[in-house]
Parts: sequence; C-alpha cells; structure tokens
Amino acid sequence: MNLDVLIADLRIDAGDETLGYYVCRRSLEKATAVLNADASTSFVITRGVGESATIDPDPAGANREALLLLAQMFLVEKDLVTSSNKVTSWKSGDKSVDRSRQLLTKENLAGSLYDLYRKMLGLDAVTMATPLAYEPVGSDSEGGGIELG
Amino acid sequence: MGDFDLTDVEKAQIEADCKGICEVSQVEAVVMRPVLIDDGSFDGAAEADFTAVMTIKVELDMEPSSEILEPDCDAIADAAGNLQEQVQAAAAESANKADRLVIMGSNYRVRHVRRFEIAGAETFTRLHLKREYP
Repeated sequence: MNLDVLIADLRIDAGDETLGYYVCRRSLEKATAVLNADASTSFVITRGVGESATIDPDPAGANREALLLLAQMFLVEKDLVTSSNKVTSWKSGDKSVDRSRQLLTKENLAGSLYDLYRKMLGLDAVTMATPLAYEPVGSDSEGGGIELG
Repeated sequence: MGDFDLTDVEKAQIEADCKGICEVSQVEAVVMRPVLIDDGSFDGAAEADFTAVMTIKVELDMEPSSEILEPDCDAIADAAGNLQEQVQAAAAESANKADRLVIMGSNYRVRHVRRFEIAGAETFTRLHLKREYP
C-alpha cells in the first residue's frame, strides 16, 4: 500500500489536514514498530518519499485502524513535547495566558488513544499498578496482597 | 538559570501571545504628532498642525475600571511591545506637546505611557487617553 494513503487517513483522524509529511511518516514508523511487537505483525515501511514509499504488506481491518490510532497517539505525544518546551502560563498587567489545561487534555487524549488501540487488538488495558504490601485479612477486595506478620 | 529567567524563545513566545491579545480586535490607531511653532517663546509653543507618525493596532477600552485608569483620563489603549520611546505623552500643562491618537474617527490625547514587561519580555504598552472634542 502506498504510504500516502495512510498519511491522508492519519491527517483526517488527527483533525489537521496541514500536518507535514515527515511528521506523519515518523509517527507511522513508530506505530509500525510497536504494532509489530504487540500483534506479531511484520509491517515494513520502505524507504523513499511520496509515491515510492509503501507499507508492506497492506494493513487491513483491525490492524490498519490500530496502526492509525497508534500513529495518532504519537502525533499527540509529539505535540505534548513541543508544548512542554513552551511557557504554559504567564501574566503581565491584566493580560494573561494559561495553557496548563491544554497539556492535561493532550495527556488524556494520548491515554485514551492508547487504550482504544489496545482494545482494538484485544489486549488488556494498561492500568497504573498500585503496589500492595499488605491486605487486611477478610477484606472484600480481590487480589494478591501479601499478608505481613 | 533561575526560576524567573526566560530564554529568548520563551520571551518571543510571550510577546507573540500578548500581541495576539492586543490585536485581536483589529482596532487601528493613527499616532499624530504635533508640529510645534514658537517653542521656547514666552507664551509657549503653539500647535501648527499634526503629522501622522505611525499606525498601531490597539486593544481599546473606553470604560476601564478606575484601578487601572490614571486620573483625568477617559480611555486606555493597549498596544503590543514597547512603545515608550515612540509615543510622546504630556501632562495637562504641556498638553500641546502630546501625541494624539485617532481611533475610529475620534481624537484622543496621550496623557501617560506605561510599559509592561515580565522577566525581560516586553509585553505591552498602555496608553492613557483623554478624549478631545473639536
């Protein structure tokens, strides 16, 4: 499949049809590497630019959508890195700018995209592990807490 | 680098943000400078005419709160960047030396110029204005 087709879909999914070719391509390359590891696929993006660049074999069905979701997540993460290098909030006189909520929104979006990607592949959702050193005897909660003493 | 030091990139970003705020309303003000004659005479200088110096984009507030308004002023106009050297203000006793702003067909005399900055970033210049009637 021509890589331009995937890049066009990625631009639509990301809601920004002005996204640069190399930014999209880099996201798809990273997404391909992660998808290959998670789903035991063997997608390869060939060298070359424009029509000469392809992804083989043709991604289809859930793999194609998972690849796009992951690439979109990498786009959001790139945006987060760019944003974190900027001044998020300032105030001068009665004028002020506060972008701190934008960062939080982007972080949440990246997390949602990754969860959706894993769901699409039938993988377990990634949850934050809470270290549990002691669980009271007779507790209603399940889990493998280690009883001390 | 200390907590309140800004890089040149950060300063430029803050200045660009502030420029966006000041210019979003797209209100233009023509800065008019008086041409003085007989300056230094016993009777003081007289205005011969005005000449347009530059056009700036401002955020105009015709009903500002009393906390930010200097006494004997009617309105404020905020312009991006530092215009302290470029706009001449004058107190009432030497009013004819002050620049005038023509904003949407109305004339204002510049009474005070106040520059705002944050950690070296030149954010905006506040012009305190007195409305003049022909």
